[in-house]
Amino acid sequence: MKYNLSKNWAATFQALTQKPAILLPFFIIAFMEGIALELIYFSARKPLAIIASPIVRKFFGESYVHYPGNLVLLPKLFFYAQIVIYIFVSVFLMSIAIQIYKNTRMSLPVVTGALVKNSLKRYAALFVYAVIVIGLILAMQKLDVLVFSKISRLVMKYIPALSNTLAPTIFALGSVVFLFVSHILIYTFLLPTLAFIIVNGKPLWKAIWSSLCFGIRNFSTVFLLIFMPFLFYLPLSIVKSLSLTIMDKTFPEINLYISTLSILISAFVDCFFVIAVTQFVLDRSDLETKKR
Amino acid sequence: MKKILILMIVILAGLFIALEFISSSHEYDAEKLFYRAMKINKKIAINPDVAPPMMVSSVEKILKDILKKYPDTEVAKSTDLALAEFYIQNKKFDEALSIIESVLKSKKSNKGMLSSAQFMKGALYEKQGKWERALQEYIKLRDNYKDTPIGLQIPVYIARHYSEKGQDEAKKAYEDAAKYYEKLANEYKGKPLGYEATNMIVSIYFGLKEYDKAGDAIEKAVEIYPLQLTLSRYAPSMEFVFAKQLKRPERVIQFYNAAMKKAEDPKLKKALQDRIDELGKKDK
Repeated sequence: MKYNLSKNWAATFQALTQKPAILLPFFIIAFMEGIALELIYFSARKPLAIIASPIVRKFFGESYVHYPGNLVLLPKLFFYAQIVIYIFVSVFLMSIAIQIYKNTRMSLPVVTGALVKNSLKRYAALFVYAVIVIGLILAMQKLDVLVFSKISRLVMKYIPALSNTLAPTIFALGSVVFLFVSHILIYTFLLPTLAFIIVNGKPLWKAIWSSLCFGIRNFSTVFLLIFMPFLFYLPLSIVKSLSLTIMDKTFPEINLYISTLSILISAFVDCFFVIAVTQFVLDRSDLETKKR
Repeated sequence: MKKILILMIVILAGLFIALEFISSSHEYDAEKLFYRAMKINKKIAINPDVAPPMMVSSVEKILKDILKKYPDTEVAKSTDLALAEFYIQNKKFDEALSIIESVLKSKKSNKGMLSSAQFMKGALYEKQGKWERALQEYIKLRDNYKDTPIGLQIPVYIARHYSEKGQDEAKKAYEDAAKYYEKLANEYKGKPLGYEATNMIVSIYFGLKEYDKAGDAIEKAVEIYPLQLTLSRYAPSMEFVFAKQLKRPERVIQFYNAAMKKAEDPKLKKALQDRIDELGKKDK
């Protein structure tokens, strides 16, 4: 049976407006990322510099502990901070949001203590899930570099006229699109895992397997459920990939503003597609129960 | 939920304000100002003669502000020279000279700064068309700061000056520079300065298209300096000149054979042997 995507999105939007508590875990993630961003921003100055500068100097070089090098490095350091937050906190909080949505949908009471306790019980599974997702995202980044450096070498060899003109821009945009699509694909096959762990109470590996099968069976639906909200990220990803040029044309602090904007956007976008996919998983399991 | 949201926003704003307050660093503020000045100066440098006076005076003001407000910062040390350079660029030679002289006399200046100041003094005269005065300053730079990058490069800079003007002295100046570097290479044999001097000899002979002399210098370098330094630096130019341009691959083979004797890494030995075999095939 064909699934109505616009109905899903309308219902997701309604759920978020009628029960804004679903958004709260994502606001907490944004809050933690905000703190991390502030600490990174001030890390080139004392007193934070006492701890941060030797580390930055060792791994990135002297110029990055000074202005404007520190702001050139800011997106990279913030990305590392996001990874840590994602593994230790974000997935755990996402699972709480899923529970709030499920309870609201089933007209069950939303008791904070019970929600946290339930997610804490599955913390190890959520942690491993987060590590797998991050591992895949990092692997995709490596693959992206490998693929595009190969292509650019081939272009340089066979179409040298292009290598200095259009090619760098095309490669930069191509690389952003490649990463964008690869992230959506990772979530298409793995995001339903959270719903299977939290709602159906499945153990991690079974939940991952079910998620993979679910993603394959309903590929176009899950892909589109994630793809559409993800489109809000695309302009931001393009801006991030051009951050050095933008910094040069404007002012170095622009990187701080871009990162802040990305935190704000991701709080809403992440919440939207996580709930949309959860709703789809629940709709499908309701349908199967009715069939039985 | 509203309360939690407000609390989070207040914490974020409070943390930002607190960090802004306790993190006030003179060094960072000076770096910020310096970056701003250099960014504006980059625009002026494209064509200083038509730059808006407001723009020019803003750079001067920012750089002077750094020196006045943050005299003890690291940035202030380079600000002196940046201001002198800015004055030279805008033909305010007297102001530039007084800064340069103060840097040269200052006990705070390190060798890098001193050599830069000495170079700027020469450049100042050169910009005014007083080449002989400039040359005197450049020679002082060559003799007193030969172990600084700028001091090491100056003989080539002098030769390039004659070459750009299309003057007959150009060839002689390059030869003089090569002789100077040869003397330096012998004097500092086995030391970093000796190695850098050898590199200069090679690049001069390549520039003069005297490839045999360049080859001799490279072979000497291979004998004296670690292989990982010389091989990666010289192999491509040796192959380009001797194998491709002069059709004398035996000279490159000779170079690789000398390198083979010094090589310990079996992989490197094999790579060198492969190159020798390939060049040998082409030779036949």
